[in-house]
Amino acid sequence: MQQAHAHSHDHPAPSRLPALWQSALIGGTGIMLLLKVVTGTLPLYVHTRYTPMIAGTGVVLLLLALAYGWFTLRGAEAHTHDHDHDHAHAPLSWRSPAMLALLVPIALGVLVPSRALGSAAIDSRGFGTSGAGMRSVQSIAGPDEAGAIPDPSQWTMLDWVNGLLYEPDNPRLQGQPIELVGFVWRRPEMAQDQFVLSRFIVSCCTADSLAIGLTVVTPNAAEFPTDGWVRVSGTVGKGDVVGHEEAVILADEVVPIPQPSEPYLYP
Amino acid sequence: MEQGTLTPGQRLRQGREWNWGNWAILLLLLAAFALLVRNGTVDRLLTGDLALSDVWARFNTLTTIFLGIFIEAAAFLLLGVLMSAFIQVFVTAEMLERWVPKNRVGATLMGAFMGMVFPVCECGSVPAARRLMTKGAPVPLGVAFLLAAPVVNPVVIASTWVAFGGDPWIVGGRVGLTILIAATIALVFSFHPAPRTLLAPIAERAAATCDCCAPGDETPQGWRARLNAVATHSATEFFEMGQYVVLGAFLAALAQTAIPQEILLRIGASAITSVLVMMALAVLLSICSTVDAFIALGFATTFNTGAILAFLVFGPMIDIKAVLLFTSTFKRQAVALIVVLATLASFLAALWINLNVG
Repeated sequence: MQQAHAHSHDHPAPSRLPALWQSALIGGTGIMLLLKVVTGTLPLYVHTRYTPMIAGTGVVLLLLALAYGWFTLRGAEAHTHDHDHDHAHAPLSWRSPAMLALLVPIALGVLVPSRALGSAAIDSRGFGTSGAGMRSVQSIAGPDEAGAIPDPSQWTMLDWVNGLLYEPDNPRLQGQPIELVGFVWRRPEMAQDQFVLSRFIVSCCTADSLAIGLTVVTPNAAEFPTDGWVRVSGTVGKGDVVGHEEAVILADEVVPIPQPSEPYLYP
Repeated sequence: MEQGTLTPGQRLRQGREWNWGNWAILLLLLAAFALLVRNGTVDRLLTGDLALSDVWARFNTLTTIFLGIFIEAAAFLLLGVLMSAFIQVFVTAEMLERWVPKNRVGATLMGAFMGMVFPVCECGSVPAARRLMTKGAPVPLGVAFLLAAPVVNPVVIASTWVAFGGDPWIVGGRVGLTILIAATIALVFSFHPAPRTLLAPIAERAAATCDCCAPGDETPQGWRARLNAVATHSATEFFEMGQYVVLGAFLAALAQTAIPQEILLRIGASAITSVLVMMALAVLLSICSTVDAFIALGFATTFNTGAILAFLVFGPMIDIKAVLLFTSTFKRQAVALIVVLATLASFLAALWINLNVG
């Protein structure tokens, strides 16, 4: 039926549709970014300092999609005179790898519920306080600085981990009160009355995330499910952790809490 | 019917793109499956040791890391694409040509630093360099610009700075090594008795350009035509680059979640293997230099500095996409010379860093 139309009339249709696909995917990428900003889930992916930058990117992508779509729809008549070279921009087929590739982040970002990195990420990527991660932890807040921070009650988990890793016997740390928030992770073969209170450090995006943590000793450790978020208060002490003596938190109180909206530490 | 409106060169190129895409996806799936078999995941799934909830948790980890890289990279990809489009539309090659020095060292240095005022990534540097050379700019300038511009430009320096938290060794090392290698190769070309004979025949050039910047473009007149050109350039380039970003982010996320940490650590710690692995990865991924720093960051905790720098310096000069674009500008033997020199220089520089700086 469509074939009956004149050829000149038929011509723009096949080349316009892929361009509209393109603008839809660009707009979709923008919407995905804005969705993450509006729902407050962006801190699950990138450092909080980038929130304004990502919001701006989302808006500009939407504008670009609108402009490109508008020129594609309106431009049928204007196209012919100054766009002789337009073959260089021959729109891709909707099945081309570029189109399909750009669908992936939109689909994952919109359809898959946002999840913070948790114990599964530690299991597959390792724990920061052992192995190569050491270097990074050290460079963020070295042992020299740890001694210089005056009030340990203001310390983040990162400060505590650094301080206790390099000076486990420092009297300014040992026996002191401590209160920290984190999620529960368990090492293989960990004692029944222990779990690791963990957090991820994200300095740019989740690609550079690094898990740190302190072992918590509490008789009712088994009550707290892996990946659940808790607030632990107690004192710094020493304990046997899978065969090694380590600085641990001797907990007075462990309270389950909801996952914070900014689940990582953003140095 | 749609195919009929394309030139033979474009059809060829689209066919190639299809093949790369298919091969890359196939290879990825095979690699992922091999990994799952090797580390026992398939066994444990079949015997019921591994619950579906564990698979779901792994998938979530992969998704969160992938989206982290993609979201961060999207911001810089957009910035680079917009800048490139504005330059394409508002700056003419003639404006730049008035400033070109006549001697070989001056021309080489100018080419190496021209990216600072003419920020393009590798996809844009090829057509820009070719246009300059066909209009009479000396070949060493074109070669130095071609190789250095994708790194020595404000957008890429900023994204590298952001990704590596202002680490002066990575940022300075990347820019310094790129200038050194690009200038060396350009000087080698300047000693050729007749450098212009190394250029590919002009008739070939329209056929194999990158989709983002046609060499014959004239600057459009009138705000509507200009806005149209900016939107079209940006949108098309966002797509061209976007697919490599998605593939690169996915590979980096997969490597982080699927390959056991000990294996990565063992590869990443050795002075030679680590550099070779990261260079091979740079070629395979063909990521735009604007965003490759974020991909490199994914490997920074397990790979040594030399390997990371090799990825950041070598990747923007030589990858599958760039080499195919080179053939539109240079004859085969000249392309081979560029590839061999850049590979050797990057490898030796990275190795030297690993052995002497650590």
